[in-house]
Amino acid sequence: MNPIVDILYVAFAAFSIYFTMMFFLLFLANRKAIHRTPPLKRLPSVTVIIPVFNEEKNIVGTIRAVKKMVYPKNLLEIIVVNDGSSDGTSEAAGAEGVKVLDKKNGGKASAFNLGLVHAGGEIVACVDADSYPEKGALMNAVPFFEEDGVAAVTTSIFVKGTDTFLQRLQRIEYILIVWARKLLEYLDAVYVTPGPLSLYRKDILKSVGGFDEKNMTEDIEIAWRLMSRGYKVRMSLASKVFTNCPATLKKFWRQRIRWNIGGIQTSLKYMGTFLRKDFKSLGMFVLPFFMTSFVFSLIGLGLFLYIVSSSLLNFVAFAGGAYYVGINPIGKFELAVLPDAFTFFGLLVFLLSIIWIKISLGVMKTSLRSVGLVELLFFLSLYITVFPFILMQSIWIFLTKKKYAW
Amino acid sequence: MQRKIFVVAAALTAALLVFGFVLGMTFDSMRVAELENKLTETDILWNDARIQNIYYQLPLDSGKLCGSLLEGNLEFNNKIYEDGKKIEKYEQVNRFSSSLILEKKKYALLQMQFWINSIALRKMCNTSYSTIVYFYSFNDESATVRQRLESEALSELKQKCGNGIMLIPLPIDIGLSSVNIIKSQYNITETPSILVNETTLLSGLKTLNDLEATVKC
Repeated sequence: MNPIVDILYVAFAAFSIYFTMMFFLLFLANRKAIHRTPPLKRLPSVTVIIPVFNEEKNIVGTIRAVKKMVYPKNLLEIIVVNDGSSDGTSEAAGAEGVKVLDKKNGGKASAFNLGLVHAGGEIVACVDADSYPEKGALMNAVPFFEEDGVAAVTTSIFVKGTDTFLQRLQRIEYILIVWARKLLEYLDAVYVTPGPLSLYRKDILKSVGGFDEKNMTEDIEIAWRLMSRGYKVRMSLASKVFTNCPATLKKFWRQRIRWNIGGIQTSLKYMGTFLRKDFKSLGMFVLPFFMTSFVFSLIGLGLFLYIVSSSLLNFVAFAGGAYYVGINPIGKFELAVLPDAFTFFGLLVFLLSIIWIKISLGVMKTSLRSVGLVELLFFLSLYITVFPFILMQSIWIFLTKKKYAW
Repeated sequence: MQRKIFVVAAALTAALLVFGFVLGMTFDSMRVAELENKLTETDILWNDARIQNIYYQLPLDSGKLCGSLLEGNLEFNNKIYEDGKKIEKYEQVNRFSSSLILEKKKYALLQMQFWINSIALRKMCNTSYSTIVYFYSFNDESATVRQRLESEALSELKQKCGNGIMLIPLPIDIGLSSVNIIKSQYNITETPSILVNETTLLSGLKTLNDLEATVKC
């Protein structure tokens, strides 16, 4: 390999090892507190806002799941905001006896903001129309607001249906994300309040202007905005919500492009906080972490493409040359894997990933068997390899200002 | 924020990187040490063959001794050919040690000595084997595929001809003046190039048919 490739390889390995080590240390330092929910002193009133667009099939299930949550009925309000659906969503929601607000289509953020205007609760919870909170989700999340300065509480999001192989891979990813997000809480760095179920202090949310209607990932943007104003975001591991995830590669790809573009939009919007101590964890950790992740994803992709393409080119050149020279190329391709520093780094990163997943599953009380060994191997190889490609396409779409709908 | 964690994570990462590099250097050194041992053995074998040669050049009945001389030469050829393959394999992964280039030089000098000995023996014993010197580049990465192809073609030729040919690979760009003399004597300007019986020079990638047509075994 050439020296530039060697340097990039070591930098990539160092980046991967550093952040894995950081998460291991966070876990070791906080393992006793991970599942802890603060003691509840007072029950605030809660408004659950469900922004909805053409979800006739799912909305009833979601409303019923929300209604089943254990919470005093006099303190719980449910508002469905119909964002210009063309199917029977509004009627289906209305038949469940909840307040329904109809508006012209303007995106999820605008639907939520309308709900925010009409919300009577002290706390507002956003629930996506294809998500199903568990009974205890609200009760386990609300106590986190007892801490001073907490503006939002996010929850543990799991995959609902695992019919397709792709959904089973996403299931592993979601489990890892939940745990990582909980660990990031100890750095005051919960960088997203996902749509399936997140709670906000209504007065704070209103004071910062509600959701950004222009951002593709309003749930990332709002978390960053709250952090930039000095508020804290907490994560309730015990609050569980199950959400539908894309079943096909096309839908999955589209969803991830949206997430990436939203991430880029948000990073650029808050670039002014980069490495600024007065923005605390947002400036000193979250934004640098996002930026380096982007950069190293691209470096990883570049290394992957370089190694694969140069091997492939050599293979083709050798096979073609063998035909010309008149020798049989079969059996002449040597796979020389001799131990060196680079194989050590590759193996170390792989081994740390395995240990990380094993601990994650243990903490999340999920067995390796239930996840599936084949799925795990695919996750560690092909699945995570796809992300840099999606990122590349997202950057391209973002830079060329191609229109990209939510 | 738990700032200490960032520092400890950085320290652990640095420790693992240093450990990885030390491990890599240890593996490199082990490979070089293995080559050193092999080349020392080959060197002893060479000196043994050379002394036999000197002895046979004394005014004795050398004709009766040619059999054992040729046998020793062949044994040496096989040994040094295997050593060469090992060096080639190791030079793909050794990154931290410059000792490998020294081993490569030792190896090239042994090959040169072997070549000269083979020419002398052929005359002395009146045998008909062909000497094939294969010139390749150690540093030119763009020649890698062509050189691998030529090397494989020569290996197939060696399999077909057996003891009828003596195969002598020589790197042309590792700073040995004896190799440079040969280079300029035969006007070798590109790799791969093949010199057959010190008379015919084949420049550039040659097919197995080209080689078979030139080398009679």
